[in-house]
Amino acid sequence: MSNELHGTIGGRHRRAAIRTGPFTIGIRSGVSLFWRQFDALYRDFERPEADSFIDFDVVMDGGHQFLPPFRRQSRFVFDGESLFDPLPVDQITALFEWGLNWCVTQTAHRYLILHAGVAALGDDAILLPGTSGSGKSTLTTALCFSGWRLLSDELALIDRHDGLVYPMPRPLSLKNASIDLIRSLFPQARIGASIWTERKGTVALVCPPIDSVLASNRPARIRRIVFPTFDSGSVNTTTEVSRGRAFSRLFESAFNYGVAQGQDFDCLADLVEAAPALDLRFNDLTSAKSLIDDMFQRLTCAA
Amino acid sequence: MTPVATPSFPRAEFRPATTSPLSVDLSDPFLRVCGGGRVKWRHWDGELAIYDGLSGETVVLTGIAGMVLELLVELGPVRRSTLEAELAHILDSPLNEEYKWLLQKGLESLRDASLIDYSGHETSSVE
Repeated sequence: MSNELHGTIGGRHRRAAIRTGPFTIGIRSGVSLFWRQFDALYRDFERPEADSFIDFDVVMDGGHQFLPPFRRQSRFVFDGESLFDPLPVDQITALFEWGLNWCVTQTAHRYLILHAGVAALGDDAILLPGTSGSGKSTLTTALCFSGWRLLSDELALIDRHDGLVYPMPRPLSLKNASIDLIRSLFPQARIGASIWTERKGTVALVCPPIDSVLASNRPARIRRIVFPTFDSGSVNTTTEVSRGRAFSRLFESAFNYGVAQGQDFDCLADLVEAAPALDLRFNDLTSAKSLIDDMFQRLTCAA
Repeated sequence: MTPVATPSFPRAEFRPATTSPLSVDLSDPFLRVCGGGRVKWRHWDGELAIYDGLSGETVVLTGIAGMVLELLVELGPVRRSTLEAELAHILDSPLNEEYKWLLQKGLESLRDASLIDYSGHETSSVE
């Protein structure tokens, strides 16, 4: 009962559709706060025609709890169903991003989907698999404000047929200390309001660079796999990861391994055979980024 | 509770393996790769990733299992003694007890993953 909402915040429902990578997302909401943040974050994205095919039909609903403390809440509604517990309305844009991740991982089975950041130099991509808090989004953000192209900071979409990774650039999600770090290193980054969440601490969304948004139909080939771990107590170190170990860790990071049965096995095995893997333990973002730059510079020279 | 008698195998029916051409010689079993197209695997420097299409399971084995599987694929169906001789040739030394123990563990891993079967004679192998 306490999760139920009534009414809307901010008046009439408004509709919009955006296209990112292979997906078109239709959105409706009557929450003016959501639209202010959405318009800022998705300013550069393609807006398909109203009659376009919609992959994900989302409503960002808002209202008040029936019971005390009568907080303003928001909820994510997908295909008419409210999928998650409502969150305070100031988290509505973060809820949209998290909900959209869920939609993709649960339905986009054309791709083998890994929990990983992906960035590319030209058509050569680096895969940065990691759990929440590993530093993958921070590292991905640093790369994509340093000349790399953002494919995703959260979900690697690997086509099972051609092995290419497909972009789905969306706002980058930063947490806690990484927000001020990125703000100080990349003043050109447009960072949204910081909000406090019970699940992840302080969260802020960053507008993806426009070049990445405009190249959201351009796939890339994964050339290196780097498992990042942010560790404030260590110096930056790298360690090679064997192919079997890399395979196991990618398997663990996959959202939908097994949907395509043996094809998924081949896809991951081909990936670890083609892209050497290493562990990167870092406490200094700038030198970690330089290390990756050097790695790909050598790759380009070797080619 | 009333004890339930279970039938026991009559000892008289046991025959030493060396006394009959029809015996099952498990001291030197016959080894072969099985699974056909059901099982996929990749071997990387001592690590063996396996996908079983029947169960949908994926496992990664480390150690000698991958090397043994590659040898079995290369050699075709063989006796264990032949496999041991081939391994000794690769290692350039006779197989000591430790290696034999490792080989046994590797074979068990492969059998548990339904990648090989072993039996006493060639004709009993499962297709």
